Amino acid sequence: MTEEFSDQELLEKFREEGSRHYAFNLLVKKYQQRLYWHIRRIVIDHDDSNDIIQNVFIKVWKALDGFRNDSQLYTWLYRIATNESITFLNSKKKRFTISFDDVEHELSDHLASDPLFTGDKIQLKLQQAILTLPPQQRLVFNMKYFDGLKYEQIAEILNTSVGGLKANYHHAVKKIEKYILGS
Amino acid sequence: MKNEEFSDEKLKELLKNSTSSQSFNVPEGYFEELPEKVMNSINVLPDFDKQSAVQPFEVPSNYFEELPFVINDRILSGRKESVSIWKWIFNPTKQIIAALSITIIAGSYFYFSRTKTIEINNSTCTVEEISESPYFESLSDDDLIDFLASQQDENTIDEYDQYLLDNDIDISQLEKSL
Repeated sequence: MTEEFSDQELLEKFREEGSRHYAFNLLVKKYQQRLYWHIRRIVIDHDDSNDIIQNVFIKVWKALDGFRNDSQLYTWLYRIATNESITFLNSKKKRFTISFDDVEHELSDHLASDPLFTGDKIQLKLQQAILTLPPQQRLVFNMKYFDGLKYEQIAEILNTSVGGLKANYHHAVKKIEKYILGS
Repeated sequence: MKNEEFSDEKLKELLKNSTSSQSFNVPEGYFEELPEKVMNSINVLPDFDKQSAVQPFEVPSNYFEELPFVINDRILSGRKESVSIWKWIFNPTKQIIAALSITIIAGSYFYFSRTKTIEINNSTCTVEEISESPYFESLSDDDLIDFLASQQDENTIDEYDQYLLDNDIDISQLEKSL
């Protein structure tokens, strides 16, 4: 049922006072899974992801009136989700006065004992390898490999060039291969 | 080039008595097993060129069914809170903050508006200091006369008489000159 409405139709319904809540509910249902998995792969923990996805949609609710069709809706949503996730990791780093690398190390340890992580040894190794990547390479790899986004779409979300993203992905793949083969 | 030739010559000289062509060894059967090991490692690598990504994470059951309701509740509760002034007023935390604020404001008002008593130390000063004082110059003659008249008593009149006698001043002449 949700998939019957295009982004444009959802936006039009949202702008009408009578169907505002209904349209937003459909929007949440349409994008919740894609955004949740995107966030989860960045922050790893389900509870943290749950907090962030809720905050993302609250922000979207507040800002959707001002959304103009300069960019596509899903790239705008992805951008908000990405920013919220990075902000969360940065605040975690400040709260516990630990470096970004230490946060990744902690997340890597958390993975192995997380009951909501059901991957096998290879999947665990892959996620741990991804956590060793610099933030930008990590984002690009996740969006390209897991979400199947095109470079042009990622470029719009991260506000960067396609050439730079290709280099980021290439380096990320090489580092992951090296990590998996070396361990 | 000269350096390289020199190095080569020196190296040949150093190694001419060596009988071994290979200094390093490998475990027995290493090269026989290596291809299989390499292939096993490669086989575990994800295929980064294909969209075969496996989702290794899970969520609690019914999570995505309930999430839209949770978000909707948060949006509605946020809206209610923004219009409910009574909820804000009867919030115990807000009441404590308000009481503390009123106490601080009232205390500050009484502290800064209280009447201050300033004690001035009595000090002596010379006639010259008084006469040169700008305050003295600003006093009118009438004020001075009134002040002196109010300060007069028997003793001061006797002192004036004695002063006139000592300086041989005729009081009638003085009256004329005034």
